[in-house]
Amino acid sequence: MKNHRSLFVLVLLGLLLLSLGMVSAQDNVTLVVWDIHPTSPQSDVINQLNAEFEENHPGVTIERTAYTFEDLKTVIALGLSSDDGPDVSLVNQGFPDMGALVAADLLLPLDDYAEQYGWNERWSPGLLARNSFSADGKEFGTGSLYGVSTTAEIGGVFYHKDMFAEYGLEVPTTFEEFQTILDTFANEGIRPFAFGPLAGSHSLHYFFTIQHSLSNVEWLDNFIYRRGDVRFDTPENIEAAAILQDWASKYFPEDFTGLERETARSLFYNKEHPLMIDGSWMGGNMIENNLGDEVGFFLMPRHTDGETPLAFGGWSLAWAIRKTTANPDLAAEYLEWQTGERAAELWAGIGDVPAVGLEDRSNIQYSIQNDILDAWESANKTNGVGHYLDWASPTIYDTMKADLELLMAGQITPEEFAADIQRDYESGAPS
Amino acid sequence: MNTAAKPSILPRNLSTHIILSLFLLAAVMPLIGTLLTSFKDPTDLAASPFALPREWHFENYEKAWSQARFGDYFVNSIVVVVAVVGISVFLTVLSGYAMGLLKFRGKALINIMILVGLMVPFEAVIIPLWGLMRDLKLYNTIWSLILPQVALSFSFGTFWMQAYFKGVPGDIVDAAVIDGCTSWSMLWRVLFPMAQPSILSMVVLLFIWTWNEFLLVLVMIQKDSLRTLPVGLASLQGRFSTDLSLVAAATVIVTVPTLIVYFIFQRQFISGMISGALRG
Amino acid sequence: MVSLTFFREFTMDISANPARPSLVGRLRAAVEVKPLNLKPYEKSWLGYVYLAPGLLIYLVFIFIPILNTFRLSFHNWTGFTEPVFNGLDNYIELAGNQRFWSALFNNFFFVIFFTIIPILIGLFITSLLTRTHISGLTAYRVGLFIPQVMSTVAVGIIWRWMLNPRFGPLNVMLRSIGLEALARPWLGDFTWAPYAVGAIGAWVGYGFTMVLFVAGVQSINPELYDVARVFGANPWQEFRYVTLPGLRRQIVVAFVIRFIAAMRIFDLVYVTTEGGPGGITRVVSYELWQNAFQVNKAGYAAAMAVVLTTIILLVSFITLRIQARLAYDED
Repeated sequence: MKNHRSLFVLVLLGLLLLSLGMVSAQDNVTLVVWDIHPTSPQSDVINQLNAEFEENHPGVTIERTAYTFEDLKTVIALGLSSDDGPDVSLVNQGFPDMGALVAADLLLPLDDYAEQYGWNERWSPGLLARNSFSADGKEFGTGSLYGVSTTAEIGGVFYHKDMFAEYGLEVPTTFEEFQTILDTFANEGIRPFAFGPLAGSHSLHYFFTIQHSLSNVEWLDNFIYRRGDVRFDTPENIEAAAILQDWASKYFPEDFTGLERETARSLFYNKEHPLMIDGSWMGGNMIENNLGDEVGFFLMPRHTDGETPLAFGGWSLAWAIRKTTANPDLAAEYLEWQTGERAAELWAGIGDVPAVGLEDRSNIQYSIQNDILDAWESANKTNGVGHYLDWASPTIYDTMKADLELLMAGQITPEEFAADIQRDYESGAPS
Repeated sequence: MNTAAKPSILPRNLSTHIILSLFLLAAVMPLIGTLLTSFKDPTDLAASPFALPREWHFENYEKAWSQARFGDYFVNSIVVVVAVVGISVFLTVLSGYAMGLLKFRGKALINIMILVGLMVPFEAVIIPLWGLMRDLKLYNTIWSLILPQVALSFSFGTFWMQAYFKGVPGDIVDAAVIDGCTSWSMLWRVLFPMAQPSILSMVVLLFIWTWNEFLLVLVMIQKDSLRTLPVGLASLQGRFSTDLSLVAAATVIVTVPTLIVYFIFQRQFISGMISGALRG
Repeated sequence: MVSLTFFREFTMDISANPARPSLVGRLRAAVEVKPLNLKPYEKSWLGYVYLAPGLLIYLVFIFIPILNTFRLSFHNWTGFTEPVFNGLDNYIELAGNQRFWSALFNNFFFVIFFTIIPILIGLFITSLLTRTHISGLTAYRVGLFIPQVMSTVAVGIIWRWMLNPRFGPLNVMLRSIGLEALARPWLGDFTWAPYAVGAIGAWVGYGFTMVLFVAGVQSINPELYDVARVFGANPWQEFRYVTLPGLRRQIVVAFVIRFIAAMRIFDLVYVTTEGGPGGITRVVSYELWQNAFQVNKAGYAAAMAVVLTTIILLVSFITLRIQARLAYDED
């Protein structure tokens, strides 16, 4: 009993000292940070980075709150407009989120810091455009930079290395070579692609991949940001549709129309098909299925020789700074830290693709991770990150999905396909 | 029993048993196959669908529960169901009592109004309801799931409980009145305990309907953290990095609670479904 | 005798109820409540007090929205802006929209599978059970009813697996018995997808109709069967002249309920085909959901809801009316 009491006094004394210490620390700086990683392992990465940042900046305390993605969306505007709100927060891209915050004059333009830290060289213009708005928040993809992002995703081709080796094939550098690979398997009676378009977006991702191999960044940006008089029914898009139609009859599984994406993945794991188009997010899944060294990844090569690949993809929510923060320089330094090399190391460690790439690969265990990182780094360097085309209008996902099914079944022509998407695109224009 | 008649009846009964068993098999096999798949490795799927797993992979459930957030969805489903069923039982015992035993004007009109809720499909409610929920600032909250389903249950439950209260023998009511019961104490002390079987059937029906509700949750809830199990399951297919065995495990998680309730209360459920089927 | 509601009547089916007034009669009885003279001391306002809390929630969240759906169907409404009255424009657009008509056609196509086939299966099984006592009927009943308990989303996911071209039991079985040529990518096949979705509906439905009819048979006066046998009726005649007329009410109820299920298909299409391939399994509720919540054409979707509701109510009432007429003719 007595023991307990003295313990209690001790604890009380400890708490008193602690609070005294906190009072004295108020002379120093507190950085309020909001993010969207409440669960492990992402949360652990952020905590680790915060601890190290505090270590490197004596006197700085980071006050972190982790919301869920949806919760952050609802509290962010209020938070950024109050004086004790977050100095730094993750912000979702696009008109309803970042655009609205820029329009409300709540975010700090980062152009000066971009110069200071060399962000413009680190990331391709196409990526930075995603975090850019005009000062009135009305034009997307242009104007000032309002955030930088940590992780990335990119679409490409997964392949079984031993099946390539068996037929003496190598990673293609031109679309023609890729075509040869497809034909090699087809001639052996193997349908090369694992593909599952039933009730899901796999057919769109296949189409994006082909379309990007023919398209260019300017057209894609114009299409997504609705700039100028951009149309969908271009010769390149019609050709892309024709290629997909061709693939459907020759290279897709005979029963592909009834396969869903999960089935396609299982078939790929079982080596029933040597190739599968999917996103970099599948890397972890490959490792889980003990294919981390068996499977490789490359970006779809271009049709024109010598051009570097262009692949659909994007990057994660942007770290942004509250316009009225008392410590903009420190906040910018924090942004640099969250998107820099050390952060990259930690994010790669949990299987994510760091947007900045990864210089030190000594901790990478599986070759598939290296393939994906290489693919991302080269795409970032050559401005080769394209778009998810279904962002262009609210109905386009549904229209494109149904039309792709008709196209692959030969019920409509590539021209009709392109014309129908164009119609949808026009009707989806904001009025 | 009449053992002499047995030999002549047996063949006919046997063929009936066979036919019934076939239909029974057709009804339960898909579920059994899904259960088996949920323990398999994605690379083990190519084997016969009803073969036992080569190895039992319980981690599919672990993944579904924590990584795919089915643990959260499960809690949400439980919260919504308990709230909807609890509030509905209380409200419909009151309303059923009023409609069944009390005397007041406009009862016929009220009955027609409530009947409308039973006959009209939910599609005719959902669009303005969506606007209403946003106006009330309840959109994307658990209340946008609870309140409409309480309202839906109210129309069914009022009819259900009204039927029960009308069937209460008059002399029980008379005796209670002579004992000096107020209408409130008569309801809760005398009639409510007697109504247990009827209420139990209603609870089972409401539990299963609420558990399985899809469209309402799909429309009202944008936050992943507030989803209920069926919507979580439907969204699983679109998400990255899922495989068939994980989907199967998730399906089992969604289905098992209703099956448990059903097996315990199958008599109440089947008779309730048949008698109350019009809500469907 | 106190007047009973619709639902009470159904309950009594299972416990053998010989007196069966017509459905419309019962509907009317449910609505025309005879006040009871039990408690002269009760003040009339008490009834309103007991009713008020639930009724308020019901009015706010169901009844008024129903009226609003009707109102909004005459408005141009994005779901976010102020609704603007546009007369019959939504209905005119609906009438001219080929997508809507094909969706509506699909719903009626699904009636065959969701409604007619389960009723036929139910009748077939019931006919087997009328003459003999089957032991373990409860076990069958419990098992057959399982699909009724399951979330439609779960049903859809399970059947996606059943019909999976590679791993799905159906194709695996077809291949193992040498019928490889019959194996199809069922849910993605331009010919077979509607039948595949329909088959899932039939699977969900038949347990219900069977249990409903078997319960109904037990309420048929056993003397009728004895009489039939005395007159030397064969099993078909017995079914045709005793069972079928005795089950007429259950058949009508099954038809109405399963018809409504066919008209309201949403979850199943949402998880199995998303309306594909190429839009051939689109249904009205799916179109409604897309227009209202994906495309911001909420007023237009409200018109769809009104049409859907009208069809459901109309067909239900006509069916009940026909049944009532038949019952009347018989008397």
